[in-house]
Amino acid sequence: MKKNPNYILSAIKIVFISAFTVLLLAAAGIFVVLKWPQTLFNPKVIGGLVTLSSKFGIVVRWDQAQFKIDSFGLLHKAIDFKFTNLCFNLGGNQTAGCFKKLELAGEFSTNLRGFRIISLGPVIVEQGSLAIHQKKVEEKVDELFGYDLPDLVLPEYLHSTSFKSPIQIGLDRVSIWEEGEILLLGALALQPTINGQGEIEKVDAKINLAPGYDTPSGLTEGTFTSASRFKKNDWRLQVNSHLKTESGDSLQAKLSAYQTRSGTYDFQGVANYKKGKIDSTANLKGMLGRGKLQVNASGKLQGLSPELNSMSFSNCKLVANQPSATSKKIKLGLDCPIVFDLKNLRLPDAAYEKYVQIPLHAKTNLKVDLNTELFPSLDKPVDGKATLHFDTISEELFSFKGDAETEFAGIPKKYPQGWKLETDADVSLLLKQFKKLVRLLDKSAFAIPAPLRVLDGTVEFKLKGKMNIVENRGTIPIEFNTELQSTRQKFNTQGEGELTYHFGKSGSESNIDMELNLTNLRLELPKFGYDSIPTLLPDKRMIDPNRSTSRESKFNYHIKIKTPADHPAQVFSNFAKEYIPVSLDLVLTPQKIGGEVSIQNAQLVFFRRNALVKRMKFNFEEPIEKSVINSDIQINYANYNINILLIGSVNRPQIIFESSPPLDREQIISVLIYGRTYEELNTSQSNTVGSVSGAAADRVMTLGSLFLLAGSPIQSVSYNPATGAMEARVRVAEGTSIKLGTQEGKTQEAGLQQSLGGNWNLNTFFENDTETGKQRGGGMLEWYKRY
Amino acid sequence: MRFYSPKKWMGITLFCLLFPCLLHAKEKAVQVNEVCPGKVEIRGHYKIKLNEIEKKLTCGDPEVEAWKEIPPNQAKFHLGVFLQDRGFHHENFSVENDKLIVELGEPTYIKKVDVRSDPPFKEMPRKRFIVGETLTPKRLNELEEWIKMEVRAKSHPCPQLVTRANTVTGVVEVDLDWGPKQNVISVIQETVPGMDPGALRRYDAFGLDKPFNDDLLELTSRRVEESGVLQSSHFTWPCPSNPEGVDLFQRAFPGKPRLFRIGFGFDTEEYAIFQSSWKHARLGSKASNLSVSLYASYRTQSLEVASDWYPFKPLSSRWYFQPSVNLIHELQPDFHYAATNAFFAAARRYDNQKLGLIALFGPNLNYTYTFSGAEEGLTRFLTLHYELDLKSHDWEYWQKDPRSGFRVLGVGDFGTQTLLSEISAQRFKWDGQYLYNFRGYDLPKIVLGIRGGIYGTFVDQDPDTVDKLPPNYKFYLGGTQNLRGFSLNELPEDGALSALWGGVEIRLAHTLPYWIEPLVFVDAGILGDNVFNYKLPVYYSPGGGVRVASPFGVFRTTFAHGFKSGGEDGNPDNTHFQFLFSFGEEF
Repeated sequence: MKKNPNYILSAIKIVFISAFTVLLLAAAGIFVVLKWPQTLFNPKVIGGLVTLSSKFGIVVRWDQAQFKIDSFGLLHKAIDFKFTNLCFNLGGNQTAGCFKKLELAGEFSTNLRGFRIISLGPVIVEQGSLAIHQKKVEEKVDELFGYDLPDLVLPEYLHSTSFKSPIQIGLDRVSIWEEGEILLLGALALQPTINGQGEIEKVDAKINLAPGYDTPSGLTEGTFTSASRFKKNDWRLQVNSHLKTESGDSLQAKLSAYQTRSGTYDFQGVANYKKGKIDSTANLKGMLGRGKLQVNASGKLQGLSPELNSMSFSNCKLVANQPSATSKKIKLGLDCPIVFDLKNLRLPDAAYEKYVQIPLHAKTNLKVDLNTELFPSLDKPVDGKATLHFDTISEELFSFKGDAETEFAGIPKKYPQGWKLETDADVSLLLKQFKKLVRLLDKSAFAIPAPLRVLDGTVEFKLKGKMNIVENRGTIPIEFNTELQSTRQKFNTQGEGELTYHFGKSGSESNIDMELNLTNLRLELPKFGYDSIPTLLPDKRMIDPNRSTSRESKFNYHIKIKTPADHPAQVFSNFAKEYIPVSLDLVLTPQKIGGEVSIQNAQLVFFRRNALVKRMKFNFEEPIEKSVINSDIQINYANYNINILLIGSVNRPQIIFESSPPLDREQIISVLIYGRTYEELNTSQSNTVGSVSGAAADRVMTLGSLFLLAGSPIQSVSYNPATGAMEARVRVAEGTSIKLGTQEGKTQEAGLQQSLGGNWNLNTFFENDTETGKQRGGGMLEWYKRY
Repeated sequence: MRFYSPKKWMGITLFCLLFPCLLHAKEKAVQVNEVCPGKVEIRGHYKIKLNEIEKKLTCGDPEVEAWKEIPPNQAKFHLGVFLQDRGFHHENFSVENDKLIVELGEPTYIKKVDVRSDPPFKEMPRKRFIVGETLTPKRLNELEEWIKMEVRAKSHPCPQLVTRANTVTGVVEVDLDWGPKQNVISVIQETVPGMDPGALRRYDAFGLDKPFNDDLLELTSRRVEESGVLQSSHFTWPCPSNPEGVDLFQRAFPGKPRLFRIGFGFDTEEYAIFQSSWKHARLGSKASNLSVSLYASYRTQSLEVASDWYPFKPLSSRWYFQPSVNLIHELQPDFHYAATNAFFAAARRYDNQKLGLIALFGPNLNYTYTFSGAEEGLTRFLTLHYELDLKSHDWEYWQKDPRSGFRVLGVGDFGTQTLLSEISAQRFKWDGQYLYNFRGYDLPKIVLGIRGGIYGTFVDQDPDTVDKLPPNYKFYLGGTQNLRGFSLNELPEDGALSALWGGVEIRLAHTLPYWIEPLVFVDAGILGDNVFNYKLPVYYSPGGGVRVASPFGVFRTTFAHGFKSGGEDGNPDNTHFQFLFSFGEEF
């Protein structure tokens, strides 16, 4: 159907007339409002609007309200609104607040140049409270410190505004909520200072954070000033902050900052931070710009440890860079000379001061390169490298120097779990003159024992190589080298290994795993006489309950000790005319000694003759008495070559006597002990041979016993097979002899037949004569001989 | 160093009460002992003496450069160990004027020994000289060795011990693992050239398939050595042992087979004496022996050739022959005779786990020429002679320190005129001894000894026969071996044909110093003129004495009074005080 053009025209007329009417009504309304603003801005109308807004979830209410509007022309008005107990809620978990008193006054005009605020003030917020509910925001990539500090400059339309005092905003309670929990609670006060020209000269701000939440509590006062009266972005900020944490940590800081150019700020200040015994003060000066932070700091830390007075740093440079505007990471670099101010440690004895001057200052340089998240957080992974350089300390007794470079990576909050801390260290402590150390320690509990105390030379201890240090446990590579010697001794060693440690609440544990090469070892033994060798170690069966320690401290070690194949250790003893070459291949642990000690081709004085130790090997086993010996000692006589083979465990060695030409065991023992054939012995001597033979056959003759026999002028030996005890009578001078027990234990009761030595016996007897019925007792001095 | 435990002080106090003239009390004074002049000084109530090597390790060795100086801490370490060896565990070290001062403190005494084991070890209360003694490693060794010996004597050949000693409380704890209880299942003898294996089994004090007992092995070894067949011998066995039982290995050091002795001495009866003997102890593969002995004194001269002849197989057989010939001449105040004996006996050894017996019997041809004391002239006897020697093993084991067990020794002859004897006479002489160790202490504390004898000669009572009877067929009492209140053989004057006697002795052993062991006793006896026909009076003699077990032999002195009761013997002079001294003689 074709439309009638009149209808269209009529419709256009109706629309036009309606629009004109609306515009006319609106214009009339605006005119009315402009002319008589009280028609709109009165408690009744505003109350009605508020009631209407509640339909949309926005609740506003007040106890009293005053609306005062002065009209100086149709477009020139002055307002002064006052509310008492004004509260608002933007709905649901939105921002809400209450103000005991709210006053807002100002004068506005509009002309051809536009809207103008002629004056503003007084603006008063008293006893306000504000609760801001924020949603957890997703992280987003941003520039480092890229959110510019807000430009503290008045908007253009306020440049010609005259501010009238008082302008003051006092929010007694400001809380910021996130997901039903208070993140921050405090009070905020802002109070600009207005000069006679109605300009804002400065703005004082106070933030007082309440305790009990994630943030530290305390008062922060700041003052913003601006030479242009905030018409340009030329503000300066002075901040005074005094914050505390729940655990008692405190921070006092004075900071001033200003913008040097757009987006770049310089700052400087002083901060004092206390945490427990730690008291640190720092002077900071730096620059914060887009993607860059530079700080130059100097300061001091005290109370780090009892041995350390303080740790100070100056001209310590910290640089943080964001590689690109979209990078989530920043690079943080630190180059910081640090001086450790050590306590004046007391030496155990004043005499030590001659040799040891414990340095009062240790100078180091710490360099750190750190990669971390854009917004530093303990939950974000960091990685980097720290370099520490120790300046050389040279003392009378020792010198110390070192460098350490640590690569680290991990999440700070989870430390030490998952952390990588690899340190490449090169630290050395050099003992320049061992003899001085000997003298130094001479009266102490750590005196160097004989025979090492006569040595002189150097001892070097190094921590060199990569080590892993995580919290209370770590691994440190160590080197231990000695070059020591005396007239007749040498002690040259080269050792490498690792020290691992762990400090726990229940005790500490450390372990040394080391390989020590005895490159040149020559030691001297004291001269042994004919006394039996005394006990050298405490009897483990004796337990003193008062000497046990409650805190468990475990020191484990696994030390391999070796002598070079072509340079065995040399031991000098009065048993040998020359050094005895001893090859060592040992493993020492707290539980046991393992490995092998061997002697080859050594000349010994054995049974008063030169003997050749063709081989003597000890293989250490656990327990030590089960260690295995394998040896062959050859003694040459005019008519015989005798070989003594020792095979088996050291406490029960099998002693095999061989000879060329072949002799029986008793003959060989006879020749060894008395230098004569068995037929030439007297009966006491043949008894001795029998005892030695029995003890050897029973495998109760220990090495000590054999060497005692071999090194002593034996007069006689008795052997008690029941107890395994041997007793030797040794001639020490003409007509004098001493008894040596080779095994402790109960001796049998004295018999009736007493050997007087040689072939002589004293026999006491008692007889009943069965023939005569008589009894007789008597004593006989008797000479006897077995043949 | 010399110091006494509280128990020893008690002993010394008792000794002082008994012998106040021999000791004088010494007060403990602080002694300063400068063991290393100018370097180390030991202060305390006790004198510490270091041996040469201990001194070198403490003071240094001036002859060796590296050991010239010993720093105080090293000296302290060594001294700590040396003092521990001497029972001091709480010494204090200090330094005065560069000198190491050692305050000895008091030694620790063993207060208690707690042996923990399953089954419980109940023997500990028996052990003396551990509790109350100083706590030293040597003492712990002694304790461990003693416990092992006790356990081994109870059929457990391989005990294991772990010992801990509390140096503050003096309590010693021993964890004892008895090991298995086992029998001896085999013995292997070390080869001795010329001697067949198994020849030594005749000396065994133990049996195969019987419980292991270390004491019996020791006793066996002692028998072997005393017989002279080997110079020394002992047993070993593996530990841990074969689960089936213990395999013993007998070590043998044969020595030379021939033994010659010659000696001079003295005798309580015969004064100066000369004695010589020769013995071949390993004749043939069965280790028989032959001996020749010569004896000469002022009163007696004798020559004897004897042999133990083992001809039988198997080698372990305990049967053997004992032929002997001897000549004897004896001149005594009451008689004078010369005699020769030719004796050929069959002998047998027997042992079980508790006792051993040697029995021999055989014909003995005796010619005796009596010069005085009986009718002068030649008397011939052909008798069946026997000897029985029954000893409990513990008596034999402790023969040198008598404390327990019993021994019965019987000797006799059967002779008749119808078989080459000039007189029909049968004699017997049985002695017995029983020793009891009160509460079984080791070492013993109080030893009770009971002994007695019964002797008799069956002979016709006609005067001719009795007159002809040679002196060795008559019996006498008096002296150390029976009635100690009478002098040697004082009762009766002319000998008796029967005698019965007994005695009880109590000895305090191993308590007083200087090997002194006091004893009290009472002996009693009765005599008769025919066998079992005893006549009053009864002789008895209470008394006391001292046994001194010195390293040179056992001395015994007794002092008693002889009494008679119930009758008269016509001799008013034989009741008197009697002092006796003996050397080498036991109860």
